[in-house]
Amino acid sequence: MSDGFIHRRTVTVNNDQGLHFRPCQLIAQLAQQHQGTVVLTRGETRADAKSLMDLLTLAAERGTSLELEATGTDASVVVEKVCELFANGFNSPPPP
Amino acid sequence: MMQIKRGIAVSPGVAIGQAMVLGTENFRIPNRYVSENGVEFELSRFQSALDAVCEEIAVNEKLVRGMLGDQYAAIFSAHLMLVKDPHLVEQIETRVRQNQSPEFAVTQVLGQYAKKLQNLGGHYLAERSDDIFDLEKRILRHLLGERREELSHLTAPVLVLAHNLSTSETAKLNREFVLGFATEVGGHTSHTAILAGAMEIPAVVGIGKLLADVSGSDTVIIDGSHGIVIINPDEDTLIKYRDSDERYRSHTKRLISLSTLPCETKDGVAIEMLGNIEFPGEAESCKEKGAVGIGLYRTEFLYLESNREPTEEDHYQAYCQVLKAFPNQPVVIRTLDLGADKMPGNLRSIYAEDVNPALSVRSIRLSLQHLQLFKTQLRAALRAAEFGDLRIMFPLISTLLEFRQAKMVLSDVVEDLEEQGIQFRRDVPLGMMVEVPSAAIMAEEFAQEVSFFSLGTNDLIQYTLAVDRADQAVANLYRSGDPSILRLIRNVVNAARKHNIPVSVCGQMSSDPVFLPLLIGMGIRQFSVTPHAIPELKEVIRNLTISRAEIIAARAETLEVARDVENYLGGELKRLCPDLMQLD
Repeated sequence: MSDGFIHRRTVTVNNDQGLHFRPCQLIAQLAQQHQGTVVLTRGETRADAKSLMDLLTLAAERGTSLELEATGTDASVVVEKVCELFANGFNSPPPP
Repeated sequence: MMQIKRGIAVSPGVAIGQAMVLGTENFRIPNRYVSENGVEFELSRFQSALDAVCEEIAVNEKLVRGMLGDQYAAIFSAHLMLVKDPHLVEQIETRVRQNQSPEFAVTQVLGQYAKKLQNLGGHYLAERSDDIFDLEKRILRHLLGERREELSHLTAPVLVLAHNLSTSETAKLNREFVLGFATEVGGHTSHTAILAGAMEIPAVVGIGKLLADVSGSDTVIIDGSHGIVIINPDEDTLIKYRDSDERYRSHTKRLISLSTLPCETKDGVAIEMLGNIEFPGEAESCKEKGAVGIGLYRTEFLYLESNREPTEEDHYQAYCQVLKAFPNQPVVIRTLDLGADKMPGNLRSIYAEDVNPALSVRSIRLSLQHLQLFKTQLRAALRAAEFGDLRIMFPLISTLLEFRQAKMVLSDVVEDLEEQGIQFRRDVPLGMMVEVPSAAIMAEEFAQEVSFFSLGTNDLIQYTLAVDRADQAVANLYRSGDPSILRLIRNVVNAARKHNIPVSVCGQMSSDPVFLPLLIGMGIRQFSVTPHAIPELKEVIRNLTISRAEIIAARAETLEVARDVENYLGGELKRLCPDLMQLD
C-alpha cells in the first residue's frame, strides 16, 4: 500500500477566518478519500486531517504555518491537493 | 460493594432484582460502567444513536436549504461531518470497550473537545464548542430516549431506577415486569408516589444521588416499606430480605382476611372506606380489598395515558367500567385535575413554561378556560350516571363564584343532552374538593351550595404551609399534623355537620393509620384511600371506640406544633394496635 515515503510540505493559512468549520471540513473531506495517513502539525499539536474535530483544535489563524505529512499510495497527490486548498484560501466558490 | 441509600417510602413491599437505570436529558450520566458481556450491545446502541442523529441532521439540512438556501445548509453538513468524524467515534467506542457506558463516554469525549476549543482562545472557536454541546445533547437524547422506550417493551422482570418518572411514565409501567422503582426526586404526595401505591409496586422516592452509583446489571433491593434501596447487597442482607418479603406477604394475607368483616369501630359505629383509583381496571381489586365504593376517581389519567385528549366515548367507557364493579355504591368522578403543563397535545404550548404551575392554570381553572374539554367530560359522566350511583366532584375550587360557574357549565350540558334526546341522569350529586385554604375557610358558605365535601389534604397542606410537595429542599416542612391543617379540617367538618352534608377525606393523610383515630374523633365517618391501605386501616378502626377517638382528637387539637401532634398520634396508634408496627 505504501510507497514507503513520507511526503511533507509546509503550508500557510492565508484566508481571513483561519481554519474554521468550512476549511476544516474541506480538508477532512479530501483526506478521508485518501487511504494512507494525512497529518497536519502545528508545533506540538498533531491533527489527523481526516478528523474535523482534530483540525479545529489546531486553532490555526491567518498566517499560521503548518507541517503537512502524508503516507501511502498517492500520498504526493493528496499533499498536492491539500496545498491547493490552502493556496486558494479555501475559496471553493459558494454554491449558487 | 454493598451500598445503602435512604429515601421516602411511598409504596410498601420489598422487591429484589436486576436494576434498569433510566436517565433524562438533563441528567447526563445514568451509569458509568457496563458489564463485560454488555459491551457489544452498548456499542450497537451507540451506533444506532449516531445513525438517528445523522438522519435528524439530514432532515434539518434539507429544511434549511429549502427555506434559507445552500449557504446556511452548509452548517449542517459540517455538523454531519462532526457526527461521522472517525476519530471521535473511535475514541468513544474505545471507551465503551473499556466498559464505560456510551452515555458517559460521549459526555467525556465531547466534553474534552469542547474544553479544548474553549481554551484555545479566539471567539470563533469558543462558539464552536456550543456546536459540540449541541451534538452531545442530540446523541444523549437518542441514547437515553431509546432507553425510556425500552420501558414499554420489557420482557424480563426489572427494578426501575430513575432520576424522575413522570406520571404518565409511571402509569405505563408494566406491572408484570416492573417489580419496583426508585427515584432520586419526588416526595410522599407526588402523583408518581400515589400511583405507585395504587399499582402496588414497592417504591422509594426522593433518594438524592443514586444513579451514578448503580449500573445496569446490578442486583438491587427496593424496600418500599422503609424507604431503603440497597445496591449490590451481600449474601446476609439478601437472605434477611427474602425472609422479610415472606413475612410481609403473610402479614398482608392476614389483613386481607379482614376484608369480609364489617368496617366498624369496637362500639359498632360504621366507618365507610372507599377507594381512590386512577384506572378503571383498578375498581375490581379495590373491591377485593374491601372498598364500598370509589371516593375518588382521578380521571386525569385518561388524558395522560393516551397522550391525546380523550373523546366523550373514552370517558363514557371508562366510567361505565367502574360503575360495573360498583353498581349500587357511590362512585365519585373527579373532573380533570391537571396543570396545563402536564396536558398532552396543544394545550401545553398555550401556557408559558416559566409560571408556577401550582398557582397557575390547573384543575377546574383549566376546565373553565377550555369549556369544550370540560363539557366532553361532563356529558360522558351524566350519561354513565344512568348505570349507578355516580357523583361528580370539582377539584381546586377556591371561590364560590368558581363553583357556580362550573355548575352553570353542567346545566348547559344538561340542556344540550336534553335537546339532543340523549339519555342521562338528571339528579347527579355535585360536590367539591376542599383543598384550597380559601375554600376551607369559607366552608360554611360552600356547604349551602354543594352536595358533599371531600377534603383533599395533599393540596390543602401544600397551599396552607406554602410547601411544594415534590421539592427535596423543603419536603420536611410538609407536615400533615400541623395545627393549622387540623383547624381547617375542624372548620370544614363543623360546616358540613351544620348543613347536613357528607364530608370525607381523600388525601394521602387518610391512608396513614397514624391520623385515622384523629380524623374519626373529629367526626369524619367516610374515607377514600389508596386501596392497599384499606385492610390496615380497617384493623385500626376495629380496635378503636368513638369515645377514645374523640379524646385523642381533643388532645391533639390543643397541641401547638406538628411534631408534637404527630408524636402524640404515633404513640396512641401503638397503644391501639401494637401489632401494626411489628414490620419494622
